[in-house]
Amino acid sequence: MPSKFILSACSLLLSIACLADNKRPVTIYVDADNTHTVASTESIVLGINAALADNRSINDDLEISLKVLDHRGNSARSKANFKRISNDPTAIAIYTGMHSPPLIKNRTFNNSLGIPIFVPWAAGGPITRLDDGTNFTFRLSIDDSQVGEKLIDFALNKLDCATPQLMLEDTGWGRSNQRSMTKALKDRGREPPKISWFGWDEKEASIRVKVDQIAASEPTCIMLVANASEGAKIVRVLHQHLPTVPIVSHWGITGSNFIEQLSPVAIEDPSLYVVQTCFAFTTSDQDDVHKQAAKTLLAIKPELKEAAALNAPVGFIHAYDLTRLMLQALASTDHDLEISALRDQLRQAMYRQFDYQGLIKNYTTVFTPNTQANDQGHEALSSENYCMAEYEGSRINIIEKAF
Amino acid sequence: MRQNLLNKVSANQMFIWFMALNFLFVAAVASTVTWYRVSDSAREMQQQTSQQEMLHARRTFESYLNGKKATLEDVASLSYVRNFAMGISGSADRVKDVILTNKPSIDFDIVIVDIAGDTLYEDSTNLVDRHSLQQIIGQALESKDGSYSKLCVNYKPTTLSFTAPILHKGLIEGVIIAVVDLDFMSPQSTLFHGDDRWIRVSQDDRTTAYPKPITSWLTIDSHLDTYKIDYHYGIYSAEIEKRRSTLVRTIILVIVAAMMIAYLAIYLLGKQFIINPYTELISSRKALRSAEKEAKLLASVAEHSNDGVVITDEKGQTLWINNAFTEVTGYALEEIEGRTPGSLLQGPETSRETKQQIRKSLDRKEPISCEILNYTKAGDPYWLELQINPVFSSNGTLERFIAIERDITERHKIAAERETMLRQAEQASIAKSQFLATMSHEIRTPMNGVLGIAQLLMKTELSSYQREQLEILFESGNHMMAILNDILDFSKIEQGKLELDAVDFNLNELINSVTTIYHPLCQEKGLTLTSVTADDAVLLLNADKARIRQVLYNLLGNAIKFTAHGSIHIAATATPKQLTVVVSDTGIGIAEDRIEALFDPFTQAELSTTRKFGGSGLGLSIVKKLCKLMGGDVSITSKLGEGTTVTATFGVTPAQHVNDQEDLMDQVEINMKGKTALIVEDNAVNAMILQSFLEDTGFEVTLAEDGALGVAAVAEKTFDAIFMDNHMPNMDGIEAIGVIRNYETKEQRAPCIIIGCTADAFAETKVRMVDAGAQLVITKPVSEPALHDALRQLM
Repeated sequence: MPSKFILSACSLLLSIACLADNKRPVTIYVDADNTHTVASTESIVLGINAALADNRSINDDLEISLKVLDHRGNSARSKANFKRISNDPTAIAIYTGMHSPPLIKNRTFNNSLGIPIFVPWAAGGPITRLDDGTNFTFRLSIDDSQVGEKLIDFALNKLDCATPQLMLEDTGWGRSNQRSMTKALKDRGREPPKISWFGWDEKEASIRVKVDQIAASEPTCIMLVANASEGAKIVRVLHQHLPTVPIVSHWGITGSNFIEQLSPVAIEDPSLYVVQTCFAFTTSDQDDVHKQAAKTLLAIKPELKEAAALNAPVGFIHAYDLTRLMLQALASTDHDLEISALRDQLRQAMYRQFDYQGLIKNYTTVFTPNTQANDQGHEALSSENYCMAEYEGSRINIIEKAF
Repeated sequence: MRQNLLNKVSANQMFIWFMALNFLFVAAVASTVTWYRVSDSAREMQQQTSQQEMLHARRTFESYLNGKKATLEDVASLSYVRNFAMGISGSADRVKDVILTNKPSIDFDIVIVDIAGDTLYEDSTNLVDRHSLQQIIGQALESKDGSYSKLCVNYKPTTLSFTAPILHKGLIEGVIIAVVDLDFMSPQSTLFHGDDRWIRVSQDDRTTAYPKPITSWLTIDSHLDTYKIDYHYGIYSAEIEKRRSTLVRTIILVIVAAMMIAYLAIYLLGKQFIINPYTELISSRKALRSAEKEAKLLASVAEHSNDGVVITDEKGQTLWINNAFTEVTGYALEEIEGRTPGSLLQGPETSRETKQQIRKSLDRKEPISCEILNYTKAGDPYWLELQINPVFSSNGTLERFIAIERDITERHKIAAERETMLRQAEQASIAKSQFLATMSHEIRTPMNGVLGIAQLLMKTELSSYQREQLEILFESGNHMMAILNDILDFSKIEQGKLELDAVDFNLNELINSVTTIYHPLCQEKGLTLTSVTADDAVLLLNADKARIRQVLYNLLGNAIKFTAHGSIHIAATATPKQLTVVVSDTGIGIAEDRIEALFDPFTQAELSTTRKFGGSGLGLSIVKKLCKLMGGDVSITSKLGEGTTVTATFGVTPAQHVNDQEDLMDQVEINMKGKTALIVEDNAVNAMILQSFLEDTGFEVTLAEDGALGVAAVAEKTFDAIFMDNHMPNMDGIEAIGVIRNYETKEQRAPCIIIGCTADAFAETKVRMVDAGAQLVITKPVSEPALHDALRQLM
């Protein structure tokens, strides 16, 4: 609740300032699961706010406000939220949160609204790949179509896992990872993996049964695609039934208070590896951007003792870098345009050359229009920016030379 | 009055009346009380039952809906459904399969709606109109808990739609709608009985149809808060009233029936254990009084009886005696009690056989009657007629013996005397018979001479006077012989010594021979004698012809004797079994009161008759006895001064064969010339007469004066015929015949004809002579015709 209060307070302050200066009000919306994966949403909002704080000046004539909507992971609610946002003439951009399904399921609808959509934390492959219409969706996050291959390589090469077995949530996100991982194994001359599906909020007893079935096939490692809630249950059960089998996890588990939910199992025991983008407040170089971001973060969220203590840090990192890019693009647009035109100009501005040394990398040509030959045009990051990490307590540490 | 009634009605009948009146009274009271009390209770109970039924129906209906709702919530909780509703995963194509896999019994339509109100899945579009569905979705999503229900009556069937939230981590992420067909018959089927129940559900102004008019129905209304509907249940009140009446009637009927059974049982038990014992008690008392009275009577009889009475136990030991016993025997009860009467009373002359009989009967527990010689206390013998009877209990156990002892000493004395007298009478009778036989012999012998000489004289030249005198002599002699023969016959019959000699004969010839004999006599008296034989009469018969003839002689003789003028008629008829001869005359007749006496011996109609007509008075008596002897009878009808009719019957059999030559032979001339005859006779007169008769036939006659001489004569010479007297000195006739027959056998001489001649009229002598070897025996006095008959028969 304190986080939500802070966010609301910030939004209010910005709005008041806007009214006072007679600036054009524009609103950045966040539609995320602010109920079940609060940490990730909070982290994203912190990232946006930090970026706004650090780079507001380039859009001085705009009174940028931030509104957070909660879709609770429900695609229908997300769609409803998008409808609601579309009715707001100040809405300039929509940031989405964790969970790929709402973005995958509603992507046609979402893009049809003509509002630029920024994805700092959702890995589903189809999110940025629109079949028809103008693609308003830009992602600075991990892309499943690339990360699957990375995870398989890590398991095969670093962990010497001969027979990886997949445990995937039964959603669009899970299925996109199934396709990419299966393809990666096939490309590397391996047999198609055995797959175990689980649903959201699945009971631990049910998971235990599935783990028993997995144990029967004697896997040498587990490839896990889950959110924190189900991920904690699975890791706990795997630790009990297959304590020596390493787990290579997608980053979904980091979206919420995974470590708390994992209790009483200690994080040290299982060999748990989780994919992250290659930046961590704990391990990355302390350059200016890094310091500024950490400073701003701590300013906004003073209860944090250090930036590395931020929960679900990728949300902040991605949102920070993406917002810095979006602000640069927005600054290049004609702010007097009618809102829909402005939105579209912003979309187009995202294809421009940037000059931004971000937290993760140095951004220049970040986005390009998607084509049939180039389906990663709306991806800010590539597999080179993916790193494996492991927990140290509640902290996530990047493992150097993971690949 | 009451006493009369009590006397007329038996205890059982009274009991039945009592029970019947009691039953009617109790039944009436019970029925009345039950009617009012049960009626109220039944009404109250019925109301409670109806309330219970209605509550039960409501609960059942609510339970029915709750079951649907629970199923709906289970479906809503399926992760697939939740993910599907949240747009996380799943497809509309697979939702139904997943639901049916998890809830195969689901029997209502469902609609799945996402949080934005868009319908993701719908079983059927026909059940609920779009407007209602949108309303349901909107209301459900707006509600706190995602619950809403709506009764839809626009379409048939009427449906109730209610919702359940699809939750994710406790928060509503969509709703699922159940569309339930309100088929009342299904959940309430056990409550419906024809047309007497209905159910109605309403919500706001919407309601299911009224199955029945609301009036005349007992209804209960309740609100199902979960579904926001009102529930109404109706029971046809007339049906309740009908049931109440039926129940009351049934209860009354059951009570009455139960009472009937109970009263019947009470009656049977009462009859068995009260009336019957009471009746038996009354009967027993009456019987006891009667028995006591009778016992006293009997006791007095026994006590004062002239016969001695002894009662012993089953072992024969004396328990009680009466006064008469003491008087006869001299023993008092104290002396004989505990002892067997025989041990005191029987003595040296008591018949051992009788004692054994008594002992045996007592051992066999059988009654016995006997006469026994006992001894008094003083040692005097006395005769008893003793009757001992065993007395058994109802179960057949011997209890005692009762002996009745009658002193018959006097009777024994009289019987002994009577026996002595009888013996004396028998001896007298024998003496009489012997006397008669002797008399017969002694009279016949001289009469043989008298009549023989008379016959011989009549063959001589006589003057008419002499001949008349001689005929009188001869008739007188014959009359005397007739009387003698009657006396002898009577004597024989009396002694049972008269034997019948059945022969075949011709009835006509018999009647003719009789009438022929009496015809001259009738002519003399100027009487007409006629005879007739019935046309259909059996003529050839077998019977004692001589005796029948004797009877007819007698009857004709009487008829002629007592008839001075007129006629005598003989009529004969015969069947194969009976010969009937009716002799009727126009004589003096007999007074009616004298007729029966005529058959008594020595009796005639009037004493004057004897004087006038003579006769021994034995004739009809002999006739009667002969007829009886031959299986017939004789009867007389008579009218004084007009005549008498005598009917004689004889038992006969059809003849085997009849010697038709017999009577012809009567006419054959006897010619014995050249033949020799030996007369063995000690009476010279008789010998002379017989010799004269034989010589008349041509015999050469030799005389022998006794048996021994006769035998000697036979030894010397062969005779063609021997006439053997019986009573002779030296050797009687019977012995002589035997000797002669032996001699003939010894000498291998052909047996000659031996004709016995005896004055013994009794058959014994004749039999003995025949047995000795005589071919025929003729009775003295020998008449010439009889002699000729014998010769014709044998020679």
